[in-house]
Amino acid sequence: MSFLQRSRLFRSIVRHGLPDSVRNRALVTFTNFFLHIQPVKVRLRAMQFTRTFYLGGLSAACFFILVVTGVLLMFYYHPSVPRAYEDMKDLEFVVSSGVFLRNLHRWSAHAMVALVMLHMVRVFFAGAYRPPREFNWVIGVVLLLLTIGLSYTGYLLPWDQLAYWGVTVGTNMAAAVPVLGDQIRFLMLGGHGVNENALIRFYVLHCVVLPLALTVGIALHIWRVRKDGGLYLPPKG
Amino acid sequence: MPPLALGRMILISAVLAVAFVAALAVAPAQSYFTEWRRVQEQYNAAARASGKSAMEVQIQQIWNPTLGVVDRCTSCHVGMGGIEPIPGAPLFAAHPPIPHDPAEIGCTLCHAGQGRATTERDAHGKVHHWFDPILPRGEEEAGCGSCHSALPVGAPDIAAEGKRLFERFDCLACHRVEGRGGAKVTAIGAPDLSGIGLAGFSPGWHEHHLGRHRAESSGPFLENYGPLDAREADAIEAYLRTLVAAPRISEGKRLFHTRGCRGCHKIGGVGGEDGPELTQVGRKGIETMLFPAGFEGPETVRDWHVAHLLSPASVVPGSTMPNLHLARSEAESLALYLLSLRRSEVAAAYWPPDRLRVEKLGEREFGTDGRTLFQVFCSACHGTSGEGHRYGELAQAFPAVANPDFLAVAPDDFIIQTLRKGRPGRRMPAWGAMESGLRPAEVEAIVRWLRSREPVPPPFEEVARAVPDANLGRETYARECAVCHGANGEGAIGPSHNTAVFAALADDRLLYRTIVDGRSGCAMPRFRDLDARTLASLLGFIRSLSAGDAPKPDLTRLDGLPAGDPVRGAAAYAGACFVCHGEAGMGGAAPAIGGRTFLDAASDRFLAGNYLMGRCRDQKGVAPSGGAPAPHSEDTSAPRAGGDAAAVADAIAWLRSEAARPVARRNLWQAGGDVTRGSSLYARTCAGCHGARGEGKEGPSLNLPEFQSAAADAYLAATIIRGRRGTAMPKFSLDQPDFPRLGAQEVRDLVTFLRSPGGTGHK
Repeated sequence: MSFLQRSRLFRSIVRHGLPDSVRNRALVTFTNFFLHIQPVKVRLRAMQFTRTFYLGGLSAACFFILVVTGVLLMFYYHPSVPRAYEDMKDLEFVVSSGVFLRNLHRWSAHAMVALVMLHMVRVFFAGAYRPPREFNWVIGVVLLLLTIGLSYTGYLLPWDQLAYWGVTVGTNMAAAVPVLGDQIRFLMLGGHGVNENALIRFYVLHCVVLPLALTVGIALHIWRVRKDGGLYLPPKG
Repeated sequence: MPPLALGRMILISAVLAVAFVAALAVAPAQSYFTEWRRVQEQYNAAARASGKSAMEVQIQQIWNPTLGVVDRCTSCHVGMGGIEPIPGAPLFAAHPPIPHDPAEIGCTLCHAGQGRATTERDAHGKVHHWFDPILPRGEEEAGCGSCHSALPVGAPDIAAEGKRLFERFDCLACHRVEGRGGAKVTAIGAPDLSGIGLAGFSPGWHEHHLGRHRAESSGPFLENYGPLDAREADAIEAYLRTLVAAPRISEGKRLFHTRGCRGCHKIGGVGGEDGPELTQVGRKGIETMLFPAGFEGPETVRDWHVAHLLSPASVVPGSTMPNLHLARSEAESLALYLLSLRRSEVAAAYWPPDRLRVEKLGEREFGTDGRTLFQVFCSACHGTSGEGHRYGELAQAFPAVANPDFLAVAPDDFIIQTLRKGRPGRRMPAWGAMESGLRPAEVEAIVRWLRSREPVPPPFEEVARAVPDANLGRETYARECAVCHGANGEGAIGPSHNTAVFAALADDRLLYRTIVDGRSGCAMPRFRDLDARTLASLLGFIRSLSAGDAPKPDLTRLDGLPAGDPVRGAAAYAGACFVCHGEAGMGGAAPAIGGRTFLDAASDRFLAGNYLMGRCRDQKGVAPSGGAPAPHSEDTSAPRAGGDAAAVADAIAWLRSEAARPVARRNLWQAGGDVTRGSSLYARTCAGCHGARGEGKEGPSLNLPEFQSAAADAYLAATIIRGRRGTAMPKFSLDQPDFPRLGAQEVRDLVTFLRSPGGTGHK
């Protein structure tokens, strides 16, 4: 073991020893890309399950699952009017584990919306939005909107009756906005009807624009948690 | 961190990790243990047992990009998809023989269902909201309608006659049709005719059979083939064209097209507008059907259609579809036909001949003779032979359009215009090309057929031979003619015919033709139901009216009448005749002389003589235009001295050339009565049945704009005078128990009121 640790290859990747001392444990967090979003030190109180119910982390986990399954689904999906629905049927009937993939994506998406909302409720009742964290609350609201936007844009992609009418109704609701309503609808659909323009627009939003925005938003969100000294903890006593 | 907390976390993480891996493992298992894999493994076991080669276990599919077909049905129904079938086992057996190759066109085009699916429930479409579930057992034939959207039905009557002849002449001895006959089929190789209507047959089949019949000394051609005449061969051909290897649909379609269903329902854009279009009614989903409480039998699409056909209003509340009182077997046939109305969009390369002929070449799937057209479009309301109909549940009775009194007074253009424009406000839809898809030639064929329902008058030769009876002539004249022509032929609505000039000019043949053909453009109806003796008596009586009129006119002026020039004649007509006889001789103050029936019957000599010899009468208040020969008056007994015979000949030539032009001309005869008197007469006499404002009560409405524009004054006058037997409309020219007898002037007053904006007419 110690031989391995001393090898040049190992040292080129990991620059600290086993986390057996306070210094090494701090180094693990400092030098690891995936862990450095964490504060260097976490209080034990902050780790209690009932403190956060891990809602933020679970939301992020859902997003991770959605990205992975989403990319796999993209291998089978053409965002075009004649093919979209047929691809859905092929995923259901002939692609190996296609049903599993689609259902995983679908249920994770539902779960993510629910978890993000619960996360927000938890933060509200814990009072964690109070200064100096008020801007992070604003970022959180933006993340909620992005999540809902992803959920809505994904709804059109199967191109079945449910999708078609869901989007028809949704965009007509947007058209009811005073003064700018019709322009908003036009912008959403890329035209005046739910057709191939709307499909490609929703597809690009769902697969590129919104996930990228969400990724950046999540990074910002967690980074600010860290900068504000980790999780908000109420004063003792 | 306390060891306990850390340990618990590790435990929770470990449990979750195991659950995650388990979930990942289940996913591929789920896509491995499938129905089709089990079926194919069973096939392989059976194949090995019977010494056949095993198949590779994988999803099978029929892919036809031209048709847009991806059918994976053969993953389970392996015997139908190119794998060697094993007879007996339903899934491993081959497809029953059909004219198509299932491996090419797939399954769902005919059978419906969800071809992309690979589980039984999904593939058979028995999942929520799948729009086109598989056709149930016993209804497979309906699938033909997917591509064969226009199977020929022909002229049902002729085809039925053909079928009778086909069986009577023992064609079934050699030929097989729909599973019957064909005992000698193997002996001489006579073809199975079940699908001959689509495959087509040689037009020379009859000559071929006849030749063999004459040449052979023994065998089926001699023993079983009876020589047919041309009409019988035609009827058999009509029958053969309806043989499309789908007998149950053909039967339903025949019923549909003999019960007049297309009078209200369009198929492929052709039909009436009252009911829903049925082009794709076979795709109507069960979720759109309401089954009333206490519905008998299973709740299937077919049973819904059957129940609806048997009693429409009890299945669809408020339905205005009449109950046709079908037998249950008829309703079942019709229901199967309705299920077959499931036209798919398929690539034109795969269009069957029937669909190409109807949808691309503009042919008809039904016969285009008037009789068939009437059956297809009109018979539901007007009865199979135009005898009219009253459905118990509908307030409206549908008129008897073949009523001889109606046909006697209604000119063709009245019927044609009524057909084209319909009668909005009543159930009569418009049969114009735009509204109904019916072509003008077809509308005319229907009118011609209606005309053929009129009685056939005795030929002139028979009338000429008949012995006249003075009393019969007088009675008939008093009953039918006196009201218009006056009791002594002095003329009223119609022209006089009691002068010596008339007697000298008009021969019996002209009188005969005018009586039996009527006079288009005039109130003169067609008297086709008089027998030869009555007609001869009538002619005799008319001749007797002019017996006292003297002196006998000198007709030498009419000899050597020059041939007229129609170009010069236009001006001559406008100068001399237009004032009274109206545009192109269609009538006005004086009788119409431009009608084709009249001009065909009347000789140039007759026409010229009327003008030159003095039969035209002065029209009060209308001055003859200057320069032209003034019309002379009836009461001058001396023949008119003036008049340019050449100009008259020109006018006649022009009139004939106008009548030959294929333009529909309206009757322009005007009643010219008094509105006020007509109004009080209407209130006393007509309002009881036709309503105070002509809105219709027991009698038909008279105030609809379409009726007013189609019906000319002459039609109204002739209908009032003649009445309509078989209806409540009396013959007003005779004494009636409940109605006053009307004279010529009263009829004029009534008609004028009917046309006036203050009466039932419209501005």
